[in-house]
Amino acid sequence: MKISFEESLSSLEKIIARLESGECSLDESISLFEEGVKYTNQCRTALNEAKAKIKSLSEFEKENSVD
Amino acid sequence: MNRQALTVRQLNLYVRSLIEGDIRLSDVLVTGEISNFKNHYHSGHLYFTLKDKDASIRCVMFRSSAAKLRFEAQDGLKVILRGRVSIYEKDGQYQFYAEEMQPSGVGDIALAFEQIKEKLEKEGLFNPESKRPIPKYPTKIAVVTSETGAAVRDIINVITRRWPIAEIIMCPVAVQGQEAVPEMLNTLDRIYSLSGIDTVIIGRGGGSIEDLWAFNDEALARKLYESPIPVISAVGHETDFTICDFVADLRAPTPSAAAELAVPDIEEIKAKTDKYYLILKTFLQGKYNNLKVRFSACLNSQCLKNPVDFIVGRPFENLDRLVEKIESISEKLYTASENKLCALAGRLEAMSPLKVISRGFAVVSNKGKAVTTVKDIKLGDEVDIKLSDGNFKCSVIDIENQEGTV
Repeated sequence: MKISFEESLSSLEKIIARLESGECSLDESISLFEEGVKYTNQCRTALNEAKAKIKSLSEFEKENSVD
Repeated sequence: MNRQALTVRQLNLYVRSLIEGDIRLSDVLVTGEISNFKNHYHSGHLYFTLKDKDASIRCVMFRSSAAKLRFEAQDGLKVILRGRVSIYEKDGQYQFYAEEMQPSGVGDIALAFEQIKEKLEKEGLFNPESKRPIPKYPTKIAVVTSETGAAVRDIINVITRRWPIAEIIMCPVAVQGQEAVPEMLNTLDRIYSLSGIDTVIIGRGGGSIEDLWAFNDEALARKLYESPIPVISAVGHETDFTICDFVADLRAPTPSAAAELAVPDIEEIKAKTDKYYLILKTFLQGKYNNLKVRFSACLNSQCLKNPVDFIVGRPFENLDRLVEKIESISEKLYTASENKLCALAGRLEAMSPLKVISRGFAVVSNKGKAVTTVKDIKLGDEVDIKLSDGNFKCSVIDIENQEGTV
């Protein structure tokens, strides 16, 4: 399942908070860094690829019923 | 009593015709306070008495007129009625047939607004505790407003500019007139049955109080209160307050403000993620630098830099002195060893058999074994004699030990 922008951003925020707490070892820092970069990229992709979409309620209802 | 008697009905109808014939009584404005108010729910007609300090008159307002009332008539309310005077022929009752009713003092809309507001407030529909937060990063936003107004353009512009991540779901409805409330109710039901919508914006652009009236509708307010999705209301201008505004999770002063409140600014979020990335990078760099500093502190420590001093300690602070000492000790040891070696070599030399032989001694061996005692030989043995310059053999012809002959 594709994770939402909100989830990526809040994961990133959690990582930053963890790093800034200053409690993590070098190993943990490195893995947090890697994870953080992953979420940063997800956010950036979402932000850069965003293209406004406008739909009518009826169109949306059709899509929704297909899902 | 010669004259012909009238029926009661004839009499009533006659008096009615007199009253109805008076043009001044066909369109009267009268003011007073409502009492004995009865709302015949099944017929829809309203019956009440209008009274002032000194007098009262029975009043009726038929359903067709009552349905147009925005506020609720009730006992104690001071009103101005417009209508006509007539007689109900069945009971000869003289009464006022009200066609319009206005609260006196305040406008009817203001009164209606206050009445609905008070009612819903009492029921708890405006409680701050029931307000939900608006999603920070929405991906689907339903916009319930007129398809043609300025409001819809403003909302689309703001959302597409600020947060193009969001999909806008247009839900066109009439926002004024007879159809407004039923259309909005129906559209909201459709929205509520869908999944994935993060936020609902409902509203319209500015207009007169009458134009905005649909947004004061009680049924609409209740429908919004039931919403499973957070609702932002945006009706008219900043100074316009409607019942919807009180029920919604968030009230926006205008439609464009609603859009601004519904979505974050993508540039800010981009800057935020960039900042986070920088923090990640500098943090790791910092962590590395910090460890590097600690590591070089170790490398520069006395114990690793000057291990001899560190281990030997202060009494032998000067390594040279120690080395000198070691050297002098070893030199002494060496000299001593060398002397000892010379002495040993001298003694070894002195003990060499060849040296002994050269002084006139001989080495006697019997079958390759050195003979050191007479016990090693017996008569007739042939023994080998070795001198410094050659060998010869001898036969043993006599053996004598130091105590005498064997």
